[in-house]
Amino acid sequence: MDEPENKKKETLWLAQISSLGIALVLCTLFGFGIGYFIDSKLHTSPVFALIFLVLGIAAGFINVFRTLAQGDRKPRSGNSDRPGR
Amino acid sequence: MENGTEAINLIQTFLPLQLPGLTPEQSLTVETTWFVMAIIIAAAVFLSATLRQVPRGLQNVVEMLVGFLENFISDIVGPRGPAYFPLVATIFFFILVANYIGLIPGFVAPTSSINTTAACAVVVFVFYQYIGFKMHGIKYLKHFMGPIPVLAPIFFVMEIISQLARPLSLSLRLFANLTAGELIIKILMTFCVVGLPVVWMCWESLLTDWFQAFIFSLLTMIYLAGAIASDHEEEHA
Repeated sequence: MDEPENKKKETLWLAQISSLGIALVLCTLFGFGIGYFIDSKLHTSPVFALIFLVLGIAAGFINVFRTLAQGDRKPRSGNSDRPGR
Repeated sequence: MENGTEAINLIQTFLPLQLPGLTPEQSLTVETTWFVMAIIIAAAVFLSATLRQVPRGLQNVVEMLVGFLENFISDIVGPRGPAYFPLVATIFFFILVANYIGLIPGFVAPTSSINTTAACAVVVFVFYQYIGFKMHGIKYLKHFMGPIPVLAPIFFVMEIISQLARPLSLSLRLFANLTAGELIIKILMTFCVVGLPVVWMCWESLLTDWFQAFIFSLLTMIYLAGAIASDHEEEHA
């Protein structure tokens, strides 16, 4: 694999992981926000807030997992044509 | 902080408008956005009128940037990529010019207001969801359901949450970076007027401003790619 191709992949990868941290936090907050909103409408505090908080946390982690799994695949396929791997 | 921005404000000096229904800061943001639009339109008209076979000056720079983006979009989105190039390039150039204009003393970057960045992010979000539905029809929702049919409702809710967090993270990243940059310049200004702020401005113009515009358009491409190739990707995975 030539050098610019690799560099492009690295840049792409960098862009994706740079959004991981903020996405993790925002998913959690967003989930809690939705639950809190439903609770305030239905007067069922804290049932939905807790449910959606858990869902939000799970969503954030799934996001992280997916991105990392994807990135794990890319370099390997890139390196597979190198001898000794 | 307030009187610092008020004291040197070129836009408000030349165009003292107070738009109805907006606070003075929002009004200033909107006016600066118009100015940015005027710059981009003028540059586009000028460059397309004076296109040369052998590029010179500004045409060189813009050609390099466009080529760079085009290269990326056909790489990330695939063969359908160039069809969405106008949106990505518009977002890139708008954010780039809007970021850089904040470095000129007397201007406030429109992107340091959450309203501008949120508008860009909402445009991107609505566009890629629309493209996803247009490409796959109602099957696009299947992409949200996850791999296990029993857990589909839970996956659906989680996917909705993580999808909605995307425009939020897009807009917050750009807004926070730009606001932090301007704040640092203002704080450095209180120490010394010429030396240190200029060094920081150079640093910011070289790294932050360019990279934020680039990352916004790059994430737009990645989201578009996800919406277009959702089924295709899963078959390969």
